[in-house]
Amino acid sequence: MSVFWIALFATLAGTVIASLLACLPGLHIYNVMGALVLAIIALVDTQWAIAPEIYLPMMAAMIVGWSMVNTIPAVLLGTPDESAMFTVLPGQKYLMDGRGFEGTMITAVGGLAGAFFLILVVAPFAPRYLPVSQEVLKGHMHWVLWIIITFMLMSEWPKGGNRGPAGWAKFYDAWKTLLAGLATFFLAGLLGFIILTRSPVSHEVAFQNIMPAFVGLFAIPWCLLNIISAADMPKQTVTKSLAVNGDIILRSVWSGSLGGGLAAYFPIVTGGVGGMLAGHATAQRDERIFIMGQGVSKFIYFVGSFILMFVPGLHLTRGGGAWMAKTLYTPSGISDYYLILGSIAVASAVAYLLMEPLTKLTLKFISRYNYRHVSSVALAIIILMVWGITGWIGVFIMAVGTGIGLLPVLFGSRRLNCLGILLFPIACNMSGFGETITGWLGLT
Amino acid sequence: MKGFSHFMSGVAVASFGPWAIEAAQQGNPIFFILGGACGILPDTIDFKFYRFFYEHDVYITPDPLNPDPQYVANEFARAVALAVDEKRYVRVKLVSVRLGADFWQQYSVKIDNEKLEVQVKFGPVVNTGQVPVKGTENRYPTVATAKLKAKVIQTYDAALKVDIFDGPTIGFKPMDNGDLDLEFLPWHREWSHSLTVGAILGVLLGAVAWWASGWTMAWQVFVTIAACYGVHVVEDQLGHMGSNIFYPLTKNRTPGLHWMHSGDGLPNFLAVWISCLFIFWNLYRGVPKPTYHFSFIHLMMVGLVIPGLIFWGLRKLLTLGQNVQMKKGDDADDEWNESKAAG
Amino acid sequence: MSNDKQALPGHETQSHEMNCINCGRFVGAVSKCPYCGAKVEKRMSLVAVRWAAVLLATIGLFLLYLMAKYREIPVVKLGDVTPTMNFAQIRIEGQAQSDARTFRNGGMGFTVSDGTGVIMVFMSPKQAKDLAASDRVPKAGDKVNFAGGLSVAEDEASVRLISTKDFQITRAPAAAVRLANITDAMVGKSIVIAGKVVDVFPPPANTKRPYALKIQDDSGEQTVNFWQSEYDQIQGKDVLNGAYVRLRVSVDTYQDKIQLKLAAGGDLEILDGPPTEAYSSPGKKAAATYAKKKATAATPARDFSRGRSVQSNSLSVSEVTTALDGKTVRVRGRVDSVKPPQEGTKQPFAVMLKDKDAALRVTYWPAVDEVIPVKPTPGTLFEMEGVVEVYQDTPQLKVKSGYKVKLVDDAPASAPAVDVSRAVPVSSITAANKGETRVVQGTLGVPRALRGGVAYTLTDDSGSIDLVLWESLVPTDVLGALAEGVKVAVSGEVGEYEGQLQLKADRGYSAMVIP
Repeated sequence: MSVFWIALFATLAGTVIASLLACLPGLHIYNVMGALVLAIIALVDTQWAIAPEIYLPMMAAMIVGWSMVNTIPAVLLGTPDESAMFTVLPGQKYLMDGRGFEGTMITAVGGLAGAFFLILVVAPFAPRYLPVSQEVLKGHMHWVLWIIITFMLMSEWPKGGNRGPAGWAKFYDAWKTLLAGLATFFLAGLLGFIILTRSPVSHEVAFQNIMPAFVGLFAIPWCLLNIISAADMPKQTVTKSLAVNGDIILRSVWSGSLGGGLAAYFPIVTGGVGGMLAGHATAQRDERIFIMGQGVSKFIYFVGSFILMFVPGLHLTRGGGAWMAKTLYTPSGISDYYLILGSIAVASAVAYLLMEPLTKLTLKFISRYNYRHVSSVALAIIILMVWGITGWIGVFIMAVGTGIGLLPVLFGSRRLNCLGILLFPIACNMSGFGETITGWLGLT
Repeated sequence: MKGFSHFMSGVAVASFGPWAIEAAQQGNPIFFILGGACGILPDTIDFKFYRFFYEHDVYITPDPLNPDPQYVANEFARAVALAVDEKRYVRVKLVSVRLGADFWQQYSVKIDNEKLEVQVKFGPVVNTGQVPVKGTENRYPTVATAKLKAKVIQTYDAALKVDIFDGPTIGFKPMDNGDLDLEFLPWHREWSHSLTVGAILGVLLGAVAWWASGWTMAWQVFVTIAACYGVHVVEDQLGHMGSNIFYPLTKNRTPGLHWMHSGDGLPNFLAVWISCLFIFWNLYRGVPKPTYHFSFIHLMMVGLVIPGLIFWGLRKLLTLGQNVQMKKGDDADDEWNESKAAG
Repeated sequence: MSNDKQALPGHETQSHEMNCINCGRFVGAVSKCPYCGAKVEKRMSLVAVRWAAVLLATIGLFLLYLMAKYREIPVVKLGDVTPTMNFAQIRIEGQAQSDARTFRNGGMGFTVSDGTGVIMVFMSPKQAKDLAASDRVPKAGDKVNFAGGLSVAEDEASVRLISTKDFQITRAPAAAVRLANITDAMVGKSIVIAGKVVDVFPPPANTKRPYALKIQDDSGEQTVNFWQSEYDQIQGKDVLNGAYVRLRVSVDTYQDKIQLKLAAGGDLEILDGPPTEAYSSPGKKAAATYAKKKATAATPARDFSRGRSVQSNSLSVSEVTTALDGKTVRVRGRVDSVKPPQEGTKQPFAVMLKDKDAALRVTYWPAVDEVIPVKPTPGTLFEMEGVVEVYQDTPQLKVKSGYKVKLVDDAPASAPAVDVSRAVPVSSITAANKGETRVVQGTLGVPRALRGGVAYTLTDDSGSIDLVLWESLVPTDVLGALAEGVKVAVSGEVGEYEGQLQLKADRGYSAMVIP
C-alpha cells in the first residue's frame, strides 16, 4: 500500500478515535497520546513496529479531532451552579439559555475557520517568517513569560466591594477574590517547583510528570463540581442554522488566531492565556465572536503548536503533543511538513462533519442520563488513568492539584491562575534564579 | 484605553531603552516587567485600591426585588439639592443591581436641563457582556422623574447607565453661576493619572535601585518608570475624560482630545499590535549578528499594512450590502466598561 | 429572584441556595448576604468540597513538598535511559569524558560516561559561574556525581544540571610532566606542567582563534591554548609574560599534533620563582633531593634534544664518567642490545647504549619498562635520563621513570636528517629561489618567539637569513635542541616576508645540530 493511503487511513482512524474520546469529559488527548507513545516504544524492534507514516498523521489527526470535538463536553456537560460558582463561562451561558447545540456548533465553526487559517495562511508563510521571529525572540522568552504573569495577576478584577460604605471592610470584600487568585497562582507555582525539580513520580514515567497535576488542576474540579452541582440543565433546542455570517467568522479568526498563535508559539503559554490576551487585545463585544474565537484559538493552539515541530528551518517543539512525538521522531525536510498539513486538512473536515451528529447524540444522551452520573464515570476513568500511568503518588499529586484547582472556582478568582504551575517555575528558571528559589525551599 | 493596550504600550516604551534589551539578553526581565506594570499601574491604583476608600455622600441603592425608578430619581435630586444648598462637592454612588451570576438589572439616569429634571428608567436585564436578555426589555416601563434644584452640566455626553459589577460614582461640583458640574468617576484619574506622580514613583523606586545596584541602575529604573507610567497618561488623554496631568501642581482633570472612545476595538488593537511591532524591532536591533536583515518599513509592511489591508478588504467583501452596526461604548461609560469587562 | 415575572435563563433550574433565605435576594456563592447580613446556608457537599480544597491546597501541598524534599533522586545508568524518562530527575555517577567547555551564552557543557552510556550535560551561565568560583569545573577524567533533568529526544539525550550545590567532583590525578615528555599516550588526560612563560599571543582581531601561551621548561617548549573566557579568569595576567607558572592542562590533538588546552583560568598558577619538581612519591623526592645535593655547578644544562641524528647538549655516552656518580643526567646513544629480565627473576632490564667507541649500561625495572611508550630496540637512537651509579668503577645509568626513555630516531645512524653536503651559502639564496628548497648551515642568533613557532637569524660566512620553524611542521624535540649560538644545518623552503627573504624549515626533522 502506498504511503498516501497509509497516511490517509491513519488520519481517518486518528480523527474518529479522538472525536469519540473527546466526548468524554475530563479526558485530555495528551493523556491518550501518552499511552500511544508508550505502545509505540514498546513495539520498536519487533515485527509490530509502527512506522512514522502511520503514527505521525494519526497523532496530528488525534489532536485535530480532540481540539474540535472537545467543545461538546465543555459546553454541554457542565451546568454552572450559581450557588457555588462566581462566574458563568460563555459556553455555559448558551447552555443555560437552552442553546447548547448552537453554542457548540458556533465553536466548531471557529475550529474549522481556524483550520483554514492555519493551512492556507500560516503554513505557507511559516517557513519564511517564523525562523526570523525565532532568531529575534530566542533569548527573550523569559521576560515574555514574566510580562504575561504580570498582566495575568494585575488584570484580575475584584468581584466584590460593590456595596457598603468606603473603608477597609469594602477593600477586603473586594480583595478576597484577588487574594484567592494570588494564592492559587503561588500555590500552583510551588507545586510546579516541586514537580519540575524533584518530582515524586517515578522517573520511568517521567514524561507524564506533570499530567497528574494538570488533571487535578483542571479536569477533576470540573467533574467534582458537576457531581455536587445543585443546578439542572434546562431543556435544549437544536437549531437548524447558526446566527453567524462572514464578518463574524472573520473577526473571530482575527481574535482567535492571535490568541491561539501566541499560545502555540511561546512556550508554556497555553490556549487559555492566549485567549485572555487576545480577548483583551481585540476587545470584541459580540458574544458569538467570543465563542467562535475560542474555537479558533483552541484549534490553532493545539494544532499549531504541533505543526511548529515540522516547519522547515524552525523545528520548534511546543505543546505536549510535539514533546511526545519528539521522543519518537525527528522531522526533516519538507515532505514531513506536507504530510502533517495534509493530515490536518483531512482531519479538520472529518471532525467538523462529526460535530453535528456527535452533539445531537450527546444531547440525547444527557437528556436520558443525568450529567452528574456522566461526570462520576468520567471522574473514575480519569483517576484510573492517572493511577495506571503514575501510580498512587500520581493520585496524591492529582489530589493536591484538585485542591488548588478548586480554589479559583469556589472563591471567585480566575482558573487561569492555576497555570502558575508552569509559568512561575519556568519563568524563574529561564531568568536564572530558579535554582535560588529551589535552594531556599530545600529542594536542591 | 483598555488595560492590555496600556500594558503593552508600557512594555513597548521600555523596549526603547537599550539597557532593557541588554538586561533581557542577560536573563534579567526587570525593565520589561516594570514597563508593563507601570503602563497599567494608574488604572490599577484607581480601580483596585483608591475607589474602595473613596467616601460618598449619597448611596443610591435600588432594591433588586423591587426596583423603583422613583426612589432613584428622588435620591438623585436630593444629592443635587445637597450640593446646591451646602455649596460643596457632593459625591453620589449609583449602586448596581445584581440578579444572578451573569445577570444585572440595568437602569439609566438622564438629566434634562431644559426641564430641570432627572429621568430614571429601569431597562432590560443584561448579562456580563452587557447583552440584554430577551424578553426583559419592558419589565419596568415607567420613567420616573424628579425636579432638580440646579442645572447639572455635563462636559461630555454621559448617558449614565448602571449595569454590571460596580456602579459608577458621580460628583456634583457647584459652579459660580449656581449650576453644578457633573464629574463622572471623580475618583478616577483624580491624582493617579499624572506625569508628576509617575516621576515621583520613578524617583522612589530609583532610590531603591540605587541602594541595591548603584547609580546606573537607578537612573535606568527612573526613566523606565516615568516613561511607561507617562505613556498611560498620554494615551488616556486621547479619550474624553482626560486626566489630572500634573497633580499635585494641577487640581482638576484636563479634558481629553476626544479622538477615540476608550473601549473602541480598532484603536485598542492597533495600540497593542503596533506596540508588539515596536518591541520586535527593538529586539531585532539588539541581535548581535543577525542572520536575517530587514528594515523598519519592511517590518511594518509585512506586520501591519499588508495584513491590515487584506483584513479590511475581506471585511468589506463580507459585509457588502449589510448595515453593520458596531456597538460603540458610551463615552463616559467606556472608562467604567473597560474595567468591568476585564474582570 | 428579582421578581415573580419570567425566570431568567437557566434560573428555573438553579438551586435555591443562590438566594438569601432571609430576604430572597440573589447572593450567589457568598456565605453572608450583602443586603441583610444573614448567613447563607450552603449544602454539606459544597461545604465539604470547599474545606477539602483549602486543606488539600495547603496541608496536602505541604506534605507533598516534604515528600519531594526528602526523596532521594535515583541513580540511573545511562544505558537504561528510555524515552519515557523524558523530564525525569536522575542522579548520574560517572566520569567526565571531556573538559567542560563554555558556550557563547556563558553556559557550560561536558560529556559524562558511567560505563553504560555517554551523555552531554548542560549548565546554565549562573551554574557555570558557581562551579568556576568553587573550582569544580569538570575536566576530562574527573569523577562526577550530580542530579540532572533528562531531556530525551528521538536521536539524542542530554541532561541539564539541577543544582550546583549537589554537584560532587573528584579530581582525576594529574601527573606532573615535563614538556618534552608529553606524548600521544596522554591524549584525553589532564597533566600538570610548569615552566616559564616565553610569550602570550592574543588572538588576532576578528578571528575565532584562541590565545597561545608559549611555555618553556628545561626540557623544551610547548604552546598552551585557551579562549578569552579563560584568559579573563587568570589572576595576575598582567605579569604573565616572563613569569614562572604551573598549569593543569588537558592533552588533546589538533591537526594531528598534540595540543594543550587550559580549561579554566584558575588552573594557571603564577609562581614566585622557578617551579620545583612535583614528585609522585616520597622515594622519588628523596632521590631527587639527594641528586640535587650531589650536583655540581658544572652540571651541563638540560637541553633535551631529540632531533633525528641530532647531537644534543645532553651527554653522549662517552661523557658519562664516574665523576657524575649520583647525578641525574640525560644521555643519548644508540641501543646496542636490550636484555629483558629472565623469567622468575627479579632482574632489571639492561640496555647497552653505544656512541662510537663508548658504551654505557642502562638499567631499569619492569615497572619502568611498562610505561615506556616506544621500547628500545637495537639500532635505534634513544635518549634516557637517570641517575649515574658506579659499579665496579664503571658508570652505569639507572632509569627511574619510563617517561624519561625517549626514542630519538629509529632510522640507522647512517642516515642523517639533513644532507649537509647539499648546503649552500646564504648569500646564494635570492628572491628567484622562492618556493625552492635549500640546505644551509650556520649559527643561530637570538630566538624570536612567533605565534605557533620560533624564528632565528641564521648566519654563515656569506650572510644572514631568517630561519622560521613552525611548531606545526617541526617536532618539538628538534625545536628544543636549538638555541642561540648553536650551529645547525637546516633544510627549508625559500620564502619572503615583508620584503625580507626567509627560509621556512621543512616538515619533520629538517634541522640538525652540527657539533
